[in-house]
Formats: sequence, C-alpha cells, structure tokens
Amino acid sequence: MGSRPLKRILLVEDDPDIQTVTSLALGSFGGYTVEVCSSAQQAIDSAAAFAPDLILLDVMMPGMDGIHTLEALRRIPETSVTPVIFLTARVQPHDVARYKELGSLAVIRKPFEPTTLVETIDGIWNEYSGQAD
Amino acid sequence: MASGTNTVDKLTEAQRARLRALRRSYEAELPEKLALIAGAVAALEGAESDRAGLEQLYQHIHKLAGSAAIYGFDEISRAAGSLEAWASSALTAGGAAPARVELAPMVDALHQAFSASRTMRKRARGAPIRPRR
Repeated sequence: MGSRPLKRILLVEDDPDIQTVTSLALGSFGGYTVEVCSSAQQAIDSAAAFAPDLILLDVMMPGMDGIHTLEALRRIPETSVTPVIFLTARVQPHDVARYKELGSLAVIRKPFEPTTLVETIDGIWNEYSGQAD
Repeated sequence: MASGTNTVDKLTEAQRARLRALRRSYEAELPEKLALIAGAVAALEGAESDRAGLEQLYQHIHKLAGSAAIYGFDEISRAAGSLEAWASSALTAGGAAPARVELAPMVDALHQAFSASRTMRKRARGAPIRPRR
C-alpha cells in the first residue's frame, strides 16, 4: 500500500508569532513548502496557485473564522477536497464534533509544542494517505 | 485529536538554536504586548459600555494566551487565559463596562507572571537580582 507524499502546506493563521514558530517547525524542521496566510481572504486568494497537499487552519480569526474559511476553500476547485487539520484552542466536544462534520482529518490543540508538530502532522498524514490509497 | 511525543532530542543543534533565538525574540516583544493590554484595559475604565474596546482587549489577550504557551511562557499564558476568559464572558454578556476591581487582580497577575519569567531567566544566566529601590 503506497502513501502520498506531503510536500506543500497552506497555513492559515492570523497571529504573527504563531505563524513564525509554525513556519519554522514545518519549513525548517519538517522540510515542507509552507505558504502562510494571515486571513481567510489571503487563503482564498492563494489557494489555487499554491495548490496545497494539506491545509492547517486556525479557527478563531478576525473577520471570517476558520469554519467559514474552510467552506470558502471547498468552493475552489483546487482545494475542494484538500485535507484539512484545524489548529485551535477551541476543543470542546461540540467544537470537535463540528470539525469532524466538516471533514477535518484531525484537530491539533493549541498550545502545541513546536518540536513535536512535524511528527504529529506526519502521523496524521500517514494514517490518512494510507487509508486513501 | 492528534498528540505527539517530545522530539526535541531529534532536532539538530542548529534547529534548537533557531528555536532559542525565536524564543528570545518573542520574549523581547513581551513588554510591548503587555503595554497593549494595559492600554486596552485603561481605555475600558470609566466607559459605560464599550464593546469595541472589549473586543480589542479580547483579541490582544487571546493572542498572548495562545502564543505565550507555544513559546514556553506557561505562567504568562495562564495569567492571560484568566483575563481572556473574563473578556469572553463580558462579550457574551453584552459588552458592559468592567468594574475596575474585576480586572485589576488579573492584570496584576499577568504582570507578575512576566516579572517572574524575567527573574527566572536572569537566575538561569547567573546574574544577580538587584533589589528594587
């Protein structure tokens, strides 16, 4: 059973400090190509051209939140079925249930440990890509 | 929900150095973040109702609570989290002006957490702690 490689990650996160440390972890430590978007609109504008393998999506953002951002990204052909992982502190049971309803692969709870982020994402991806083949 | 094991030992020394540098950079910006919060609190005092001001305070606090923990400043994150919970409740209740007595202890706790983090770092470096005059 083969596995699809994970190479390109679209990070949608409005906090510059979290953007920085997450980019370091994913890009420098994980070797992924990362596109950072500070808002829903930036993500919508970038998604088609960047064509991510995976979307890491914050939930609580000013303006359009992560839930609505995902709905908008699903209307773009290039990201209509792109796997999504939510990155959020909102992890009450009803929140997680909602994320699952929206088809997210997983939820990574904030605060997360930067040194383990790549391993966490790799584990989620390996499980997903193994099931997808 | 995803979880991972600590892989800090798997990072190269160069990667660990980059994380340390990033943490130092974040720490250097903490006074400015605290000043933003203090300013937002001061702007709320005396106002009968200021939903916009309360939302601004909430955004500053929410960012600090999230990022501080990721960068390893757990005490600051916890203190910010208390203030965040208060601000969230106040917003849900309709944005009524806070009583000074409600905010002051939480703001003090935040400043104490910040001072404690600086004291710990100085002690770790071996620098003497000079008494306040």
